[in-house]
Amino acid sequence: MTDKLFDNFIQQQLYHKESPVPPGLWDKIAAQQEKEKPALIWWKNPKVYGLGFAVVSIFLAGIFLKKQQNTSVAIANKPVDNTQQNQVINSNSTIKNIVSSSPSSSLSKTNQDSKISLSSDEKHLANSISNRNIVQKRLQENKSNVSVNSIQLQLGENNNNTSFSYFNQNITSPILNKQLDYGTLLTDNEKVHLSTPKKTSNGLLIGVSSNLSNQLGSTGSNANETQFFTKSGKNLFAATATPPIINLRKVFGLDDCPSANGSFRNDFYIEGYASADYTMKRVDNISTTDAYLAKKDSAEKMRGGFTLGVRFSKSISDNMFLKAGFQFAQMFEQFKLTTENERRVTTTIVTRTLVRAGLPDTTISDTTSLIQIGYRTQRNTNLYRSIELPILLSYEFGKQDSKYSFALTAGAIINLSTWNNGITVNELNQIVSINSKPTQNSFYTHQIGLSAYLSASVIKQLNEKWSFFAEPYLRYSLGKNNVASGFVQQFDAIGINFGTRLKLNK
Amino acid sequence: MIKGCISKQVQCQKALFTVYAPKFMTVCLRYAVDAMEAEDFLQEGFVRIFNNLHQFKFEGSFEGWMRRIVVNVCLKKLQKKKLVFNEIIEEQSTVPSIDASAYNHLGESDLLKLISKLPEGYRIVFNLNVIEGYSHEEIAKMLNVQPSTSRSQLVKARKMLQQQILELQKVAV
Repeated sequence: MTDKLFDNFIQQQLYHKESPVPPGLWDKIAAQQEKEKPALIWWKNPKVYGLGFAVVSIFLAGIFLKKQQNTSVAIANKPVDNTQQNQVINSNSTIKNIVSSSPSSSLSKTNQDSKISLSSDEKHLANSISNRNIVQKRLQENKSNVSVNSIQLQLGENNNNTSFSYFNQNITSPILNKQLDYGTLLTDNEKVHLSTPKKTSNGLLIGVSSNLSNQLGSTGSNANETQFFTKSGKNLFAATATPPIINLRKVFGLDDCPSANGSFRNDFYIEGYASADYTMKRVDNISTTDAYLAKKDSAEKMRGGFTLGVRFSKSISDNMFLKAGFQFAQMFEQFKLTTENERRVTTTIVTRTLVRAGLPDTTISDTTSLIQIGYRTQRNTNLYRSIELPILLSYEFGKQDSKYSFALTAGAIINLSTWNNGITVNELNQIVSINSKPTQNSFYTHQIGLSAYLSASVIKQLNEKWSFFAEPYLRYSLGKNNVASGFVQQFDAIGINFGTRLKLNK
Repeated sequence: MIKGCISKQVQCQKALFTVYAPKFMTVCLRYAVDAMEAEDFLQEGFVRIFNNLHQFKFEGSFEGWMRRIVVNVCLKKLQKKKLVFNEIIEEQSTVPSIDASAYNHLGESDLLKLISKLPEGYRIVFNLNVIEGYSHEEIAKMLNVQPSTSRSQLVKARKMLQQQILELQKVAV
């Protein structure tokens, strides 16, 4: 029988052979699987990083767009001449008449966060108005030449038959330049009665008589502020809705007044930072063997790193910042490979010959081998250094001058240049240098990569100019390198940037 | 069943285990020194199969894919024990040709026992090449040796196995 036939015979006999499985093995496997179930399986799932990055990016973009929208509304609400005001009114599709034309009718309206209610029976409120002296105040609108001659606060009992529209007490009037109080607003031909505040579930409401019901209009475009003005274009007052328990607009700084730097915050900062990084490496097989990658993986262990950087931060709205700069990142990798470099074999053979009658002699050899193997261990600390360009978009929560603020940042880190220093093992189990020069012979390709960056930071304002910040971050590598070596490896990092920022403008 | 295993359904995993465990137990027995070690190999092999099932691309034989994993697990475990390729000096350079009829009396279990008695290096190379069908170049990469070492180990393994079969035949006669 030839070797080929012999091999075929063995394969046919054994390839599909089944053997009894030890009882209880399945239970052991099930138990081991349960034990090895990773608590943080999402940690290695790239989709999680992508999703998180997308959510934060959309969130930041949404806030930015919202901010832009609010800015245009704010501009529209500024006192302007009649023509301009009417243009704004006409261009805004959300302008609504909010007061009924009939004094006896009622209307309720809820416009997003604005809570406005109308009632026809307000005698009890009018009666509750105490006797007060008449106060007159002459006002003039800023840009329009239409004057409001006087505002007269009158006794409530004079207005028993008046119907009221209700607004939150937290109302400011551009005319009065203060919060509305009860009484009556008098103009040449217009008369507005204001009731005493009424405590309701929506807060303290103040009633506005409907004398001007046909002449009042409102813009409901703002989230929780409604501007009221007469149809002739006079900006009468602004009604602000009852603040919710958690006022997100306040938290996000959307209700802040324009800063001293103008209607837009126009600050720019320089930020210096340093971080200690926990680094991770992902390796994917392209065209090499799993055994080689397993060997390489067992020989290399990431040992952290650090980042030093400086970046400029420019406000593009009251809370949004665009950041760009340069940073230097260095990762450490411990390389340790043990290879066999010497082998000594001592063999002892004992030969016996069996002599049996009628049968040929049989020689039996007992062989004993003593093998001594010498191993060589090579150690090295590999360095991966990069110069990078971070381009980030950051949103700061809270007011501009608050002692503490919180920020979410997302963006890209563009790897401008990478140079490595160290050794690794190749497929032939040889030690090769990874010193990277932009040549074809480099084991690791010299390639520009891209990383996604996500961070949340706490900023402590030290004084008018200086702030300190701590910024836990995650960077997830998107670019791939070393394809030429039959595999790709990507480096991710988590760390905390500690840094200071200096306000460059006054 | 595969999709159920991918979604970590225990019932599907158990069904898969029931179908394939007997075959893979034989695979492990061929690489292991004894049954206990083979059981360890099989346990580790199935855990790895379940953990990596999502990487199966539904191309080619599913059984072949799983078998490769089991074999890799066996090799990895053996390599941890410092796999040694002995160069055993044989006194008898040629083995008398064995008549094909001699194999008729040779059962699968006998063959398995004979293979398990081969020195470790011989046994592994013989298993990989003759039974699993890996080429010497593939074996060399898997075991981190030269292809020539794989070839010489196979020749010697085959020769030793044939000698043992011959001995068995003589005893039987």
